[in-house]
Order: sequence, then structure tokens, then C-alpha cells
Amino acid sequence: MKKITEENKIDFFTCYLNGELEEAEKIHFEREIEKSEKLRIEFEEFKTFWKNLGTVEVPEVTDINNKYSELKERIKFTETEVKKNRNFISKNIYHNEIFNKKRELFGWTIRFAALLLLSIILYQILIIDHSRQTTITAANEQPEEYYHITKRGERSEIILPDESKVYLNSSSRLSYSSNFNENQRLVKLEGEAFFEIEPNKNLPFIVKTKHNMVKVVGTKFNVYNRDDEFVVAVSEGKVMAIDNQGSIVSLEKNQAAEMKGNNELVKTTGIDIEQFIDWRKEKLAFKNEPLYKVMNEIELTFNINTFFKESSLRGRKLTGSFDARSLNEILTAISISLNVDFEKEGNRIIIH
Amino acid sequence: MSDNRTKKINELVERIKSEDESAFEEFYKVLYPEIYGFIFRNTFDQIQSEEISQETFIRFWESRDQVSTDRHPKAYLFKIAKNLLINSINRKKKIYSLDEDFIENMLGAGEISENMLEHDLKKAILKLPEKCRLIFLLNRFHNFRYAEIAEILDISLQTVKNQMSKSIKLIREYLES
Repeated sequence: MKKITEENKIDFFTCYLNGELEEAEKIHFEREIEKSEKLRIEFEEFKTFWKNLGTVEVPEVTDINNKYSELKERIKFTETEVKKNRNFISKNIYHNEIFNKKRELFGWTIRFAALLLLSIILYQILIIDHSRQTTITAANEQPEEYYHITKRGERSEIILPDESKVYLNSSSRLSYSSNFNENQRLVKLEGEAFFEIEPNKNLPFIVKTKHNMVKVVGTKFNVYNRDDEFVVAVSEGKVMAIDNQGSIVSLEKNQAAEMKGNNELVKTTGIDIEQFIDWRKEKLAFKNEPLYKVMNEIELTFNINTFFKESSLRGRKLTGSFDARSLNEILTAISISLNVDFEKEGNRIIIH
Repeated sequence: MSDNRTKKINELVERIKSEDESAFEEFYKVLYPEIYGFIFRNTFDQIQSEEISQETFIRFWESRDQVSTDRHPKAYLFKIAKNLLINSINRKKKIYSLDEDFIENMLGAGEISENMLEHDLKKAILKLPEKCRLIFLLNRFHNFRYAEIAEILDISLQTVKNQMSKSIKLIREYLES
């Protein structure tokens, strides 16, 4: 049996308190403690020390349910992403192939197309059925995915359920689940978008791209992700850029972070944020244009509807060049120069 | 760790392997605070701890087929967390155990209700060499046996004992100075 010496007594104490001593050793140790007053006092001292070692506090985890929802969304996105992609694209591919197939295969492809069509219809029916059920049994609810897609040369402004705005550049895709803003605010982006996020401390806003994530509470920033290139640039507020390994780069106004391939996130400070959101600088220029034409243009650019409450205003002429970055800015400028009032009602602008 | 708790976790993991999402939810809710605590005591950075913790569970789910229930699934979970933690530390290229000011800064931000002992203890832990720190935390705060720690860190049992001994010595030395 090993002797308890000055050298190893600490080890003995530790192992004893950890229950790592074998039965025989344990008994031996207890006997030694009884025999020596000195050893017993030292042991008691060590016990206190050992107890105090446990006083490192950790912040309480208060929103575990939200965290689990966020986790589910992140897992789901990586798993169903591939399936949805195939579903989305395959319709187009097969459609093209129908017209390009040789005549001998014509019959087969028609059959295939019919089958595909049938299964798509069935799928839709099943979804409708399922969603009817989910209003009764919320426990098994399958949230739907919402997709916003821009084609080449197309841009769009999206208002999310939490009133946050996303300006989507061309050839881009933004998606989020139907229970966005219930217990998570997670969107997935492919391409480029400028975000104006409403603050919500309880639900951080997360943008997920191919290899990265951007996490914020409420702020303005631009995210770019095409292929394996990722760039985030901050216009206002504070933003957390995260990579696959959980490394975090913290960014503030006029700072950017970039990642090429699977390398590290590299931070750059003192950037000109305008350079990163140059794509948004669509100029809307009018020379003596009647207001109804102007509003038309605005409708197309911002994907909203306009309505003249006072039809006499339709003919008012407008001259000017506007930086089409923000709808509100343009409307303000127009309302000042033409002395008209704009009222926003949901997705409509009312002019009077 | 109590046997009942081990049994319960093993049961959950069995169900997780059969794609049982509600078992995974329970598993997550029970173990997230522990993983979070582990990462936090290594970094004292809330956001990073959250991030690494989430990623840990994502990877656990993704590799659920490889988890074996006769070999401590909780240790497997911690192994994932430890790997992510070390990756993160390496990528940041920061050397925790040396710079006094750096450590002071790390701890300084936002610690409200903390006494001297706790503060000194945090510093002592941060100053430990990486392996010592991991072993110490896994033992003292997560009740892993030395054998389990050896598995998590991929080292020998003897190394664990030696490093544990070293950790205690270093902490005592630091606290007494």
C-alpha cells in the first residue's frame, strides 16, 4: 500500500474526494487520517479548498426554449436545404427536357412529366391537409419555408414578420420559416442583401450563409455570400460574424469581415460602407414626369402598390434625381418638392 | 455522476439514434447548461460559449449514428465541445495562460456580483496550461471520472492523474501568492 508522504498527500486528498481511490486504498487512507492529527487537519483544510474551487459562477441559461428553436432551425436548414433545392430546380430541368427529347423518347417523358405533376399535386394536397391538422394539434406542427428569390437584374425589398427590412440584390435568395419571430429570428441568405433589423434583445437576428452566420440584436449591415466567398459590412450597430468552428469576429460601424473558402474570418476596419452597398444605389431620375409615372417607377423598384386618393395629383410634374436607397427618403423628398402627403398602409402608399 | 442520471441519458441517446426528435430536445435541455458552463469556464465569453455550445449539439445530432451508448455518450458530447473549443482557441491564436493584463481584461467585462476568491480563482484557472485546465474543469465541475476524461481528451489515464495533480498544485500556488 502506497505510503502517504508530503509529496503525494495532495494527490491522495484529491483522489479520495473524487472517489478515485480503490476500496483498499480508501480504507488505508481513512485509517491514516485517524492516526495522524496533523494529516487530518491538512485534509480538512484541503476539503475547504476543494469546496471553494467550485465557486466559479456561470451565467444562467434563461431562454433554453428559444435556444432549442434556434438549434432546430439551424439543423433543419442544413438537412432540408438539399432536398428543397432539388425540388425547386428539378421542375425546370424536366420541363426543358420535355421539349428537347427525341421523338422516340417523347412518350416516356410525357409519362414521366405526368407522374411528376401528379406527385407535385399530391404533395401540395398533403401539405394543405397537414396544415389543416396542425391548427388542432400544434405539437406536431411542421412550419413552412418562405422563399424570396430575385432573378438577374431584379431587386426586392422584403419586410419580415418582425418589421425588419431586407433589401435583396439580384440573383439572390432569402428564406425563413413560418414561425419566424415566434421563438427565433433566423433567415438564410444566398447572394447579397442589406439588412435593417428591428431590435429585439430576446430574439437575436441571425443570417445564415453557406459557411457563416451573422448574429445581431438590431442594426444595419450588408451580407454577401456567393459560392465560397463571404463578406459582411456594418453600417450601424454591432454585429457578430461567426464561422463554422464557432470563431467570432465582432464588428461595428464601418468595419467588415471577409472569408474566402474555408479559411479564417478576416476583419477590416475603417471601411467606406458605401462601397459595400453601392449595389443599392439605383438612381431614380425624373425630368418633368407626371407623378403617376413616378409612382409607377417606385412601385417596380420597391415592389409596393400606390394609390392616388386625390386623382388631381396624378398630373403633378416632378424633376429630380433620387438615390433609390430608401423609399422613405424618396417619398420625403417628393412630398417636400411637390407638396403632397404620403401615407403608408401596409403594402400600399396613399397619395393625397 | 449518479447512475440514474447516466441511465436516463443513455436511454435518451438510444432514442436519438432512432431519430426521436423529442428525445433530442430533452437531451439538449438537460445537457446544454453543462456544455455551456464548460465552455464558459474556459473562455469567460458568453457569446462564444453560446455559439460553441449550439454547434456542439448540431454536430452531435449529425453524428448520432456513431454514438455508442455503452461508452459514455455524455463524454462523447464533451469531446465534440472540447474539439470545437480548441479549434476556436487555435484560430484566435491567443495564448491564455500567460498575459496577466489580457486575462484581467477578459474577466473585467461585466462581472458584478463576484468576491475576491472567485475572481482570483477564475484567474488561476485561466492561467493553467490548456490540458491542465480542461482536465481540472471536467473533473471539478462536470464530475467526470479520470477514465472518462482520458477518453474525452484522447490521453492516457496516467497523464490525467499527473495533470490533475499539477493543476491543483498550480492553483494552490497561485491563490496563496
